[in-house]
Amino acid sequence: MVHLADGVLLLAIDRLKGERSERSLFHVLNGKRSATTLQDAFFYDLEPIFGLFPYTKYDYEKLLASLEKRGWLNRSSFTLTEAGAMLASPEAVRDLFDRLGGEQRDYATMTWKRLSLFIQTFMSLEHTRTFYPVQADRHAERWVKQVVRTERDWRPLIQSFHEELETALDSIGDPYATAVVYRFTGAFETGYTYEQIASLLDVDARTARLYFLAGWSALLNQLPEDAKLRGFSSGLTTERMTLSARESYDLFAAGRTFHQVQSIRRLRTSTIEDHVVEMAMYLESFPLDQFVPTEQIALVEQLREADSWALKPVFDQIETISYYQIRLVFARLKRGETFV
Amino acid sequence: MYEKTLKRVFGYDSFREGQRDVIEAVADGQDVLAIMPTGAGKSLTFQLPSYIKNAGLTIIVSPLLSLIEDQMLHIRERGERGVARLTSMETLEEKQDILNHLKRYRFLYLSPEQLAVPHVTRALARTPIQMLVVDEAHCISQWGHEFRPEYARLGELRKQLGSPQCMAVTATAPEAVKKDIIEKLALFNPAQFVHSANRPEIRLIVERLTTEQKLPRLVELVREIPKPAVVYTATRREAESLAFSLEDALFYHGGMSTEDRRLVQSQFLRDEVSVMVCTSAFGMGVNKDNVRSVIHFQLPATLEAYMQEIGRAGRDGNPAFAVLLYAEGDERIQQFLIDQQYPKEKDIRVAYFERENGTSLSQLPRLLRLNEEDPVFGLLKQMLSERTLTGAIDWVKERKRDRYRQLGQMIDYALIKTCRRDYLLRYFSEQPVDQEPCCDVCGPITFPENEQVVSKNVTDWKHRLSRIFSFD
Repeated sequence: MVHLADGVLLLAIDRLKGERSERSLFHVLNGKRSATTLQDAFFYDLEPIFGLFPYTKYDYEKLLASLEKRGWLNRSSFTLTEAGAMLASPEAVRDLFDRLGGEQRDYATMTWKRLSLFIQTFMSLEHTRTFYPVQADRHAERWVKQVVRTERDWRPLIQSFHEELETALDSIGDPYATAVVYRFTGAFETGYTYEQIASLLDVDARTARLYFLAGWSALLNQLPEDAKLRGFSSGLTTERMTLSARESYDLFAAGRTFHQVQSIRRLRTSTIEDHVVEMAMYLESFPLDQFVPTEQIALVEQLREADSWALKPVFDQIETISYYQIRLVFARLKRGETFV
Repeated sequence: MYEKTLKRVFGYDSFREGQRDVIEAVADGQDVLAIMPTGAGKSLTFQLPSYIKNAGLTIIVSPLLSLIEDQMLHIRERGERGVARLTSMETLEEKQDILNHLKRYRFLYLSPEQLAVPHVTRALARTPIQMLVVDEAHCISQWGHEFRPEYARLGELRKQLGSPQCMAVTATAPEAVKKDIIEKLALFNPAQFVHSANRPEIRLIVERLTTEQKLPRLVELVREIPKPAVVYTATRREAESLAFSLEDALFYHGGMSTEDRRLVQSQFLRDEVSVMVCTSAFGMGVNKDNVRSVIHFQLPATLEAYMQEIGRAGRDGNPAFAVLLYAEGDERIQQFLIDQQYPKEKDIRVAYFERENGTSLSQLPRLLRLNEEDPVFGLLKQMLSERTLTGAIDWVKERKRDRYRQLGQMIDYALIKTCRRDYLLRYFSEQPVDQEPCCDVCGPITFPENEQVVSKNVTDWKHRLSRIFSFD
């Protein structure tokens, strides 16, 4: 039996085009915030699944072995077989994949934990029902404890939460709406496990989980700026840039040169370079020509093999360029800029 | 007066057997040693006196984080907020905050290590303490099967706290261990309570079947028996597949996410699902009084485990059923699971050989095709540092032999043609009892009419959302 969730993982492998290793994908699935992994996710369109499949090494190995055994994966080249590619190709797979949103500093996860725990706590208190907390996260617990204790007129606010959820989910539609709503726990109804949601939606449990993640991510995106529910994300950020890169960026933005930034931060050249690459990947506008000579920028663009983000072929053809500089140009190309 | 407190704080109408005597001794200010099987309601015996005397903090020392977490959850569940814990899980600031406001709390849980931290001991010594409770007290004794060195200092720490009243609780304690507990904790002429392991409300049944008959019989049995019911099995995979074959059943095992585990437990506690199929991971601290039946689809590894698992039935004192489905050869799964918990002799030899030839410890898992986080590898590492090669091999052989012997006793329970209750009680060094109804050997057991306890509500998501947000 093949499920959408299998397709999503196969598509992830497919998107790496055989240019990255098994381990690269492992780190993307686990959401490792290292320069290389962030770049892999960015260049190979894996940001939607970043951090959403926290496998252990052991389970990841089992997964790959089973994909190979089912005839979908060539492990030596880390590419899909024809059969595997076929399973990764349906529109439904790509659609689900791109809806997943990816983990961004726990923004989606933590917002969910806070909201679900708050609703359960508040409604249980309201109905004077004892309850068994659905979330075991201590940060979320503490946050909810503080919020619940504050004196305010809760009822109209709860009503707004309800309306905002319903409006957003209405536009997102099923199966996502069902997957999200049935995860909530109230005073009298306990949320469903992914297995139970799966049987409601007639899919397997892993796919049900992805429907929930996709629905929740879409919901957060749909909420209007002034939505009351946004309070549950307070103090959280969706920024993809690492904190360290952000610090370097602030110095660059204040007019410091590369060397000044490096001596202030006392970091290695390669580390600051990684920060600049992050800036190139995530900033709306980026002064590329300050880091790469203009004529080389165009050259890199021309020499890049269509549909590939492999650095070496370009590096081999230009004598006076570094991998770091190629990465910077690639990052802007990936963002849709063009220099030729 | 005790009954009033019992009703007001805990919501129960009457005490379970033996609880009242313990509580009276505790309220009377005596040191207490209580040997009570899991599920006999021992936590109530040290909690209730706190509400009667209101004479300060009750400190509970417990060796396991998960036990502390479960107990706290249950205390909070009934609305008590005056409970805190000091374990390795709290940040420094959190700990300090708790220590600065000890007056806020009625119950404080901590690990023995935390109690031994000097400024923790000092802070506690300055606050009024009603009682010091030592949970799993058998850990203090070198004679016990779970000796913990951290427990050895508890006697001295008790003195530093001003020698408050002390209660030691454990599920099992042979004579030598009992003596050790009393001496090491310096219990003064303690009132001793030994509960029978017998659970008269549970009827014991074994059905011998062929392997092919087991699944169809389980499906049928789950329809017949009173519910809520727990079905125990040996592996995660089997827990999942059985749950799919049964009506209104969910599975529970250690491989699930925390959130899903909590959802399943909550549904079961609230009677939203009537059958839980699980591995032995389920049950630690699950306080559900109205479980009517426990079915074992596979043998547990020991009689202690079996008693503990069937002990989850009938906690409300009403009739309950324990059914073991046994087919010849079932023990192979447990044998396999036991073998898996120890490194193979071949691997031990390879590991010692490689280490002698300079291979680093970190390369071993790959060479042996072991998961680094596998406890087996942990065991292997420990053996490498503590034992010679032959010593290690002998140790494993001996441990396995011991475990097989215990499994053999479990199989005997399924095979005997005499009273099953007698067999269990004899195993726990107790006198046989005469009771009616008892077990399938003593006389036929019939299941009462099944009443529907579970309410099901599947609607479209908008209705569901409205119900969750409803104030009515």
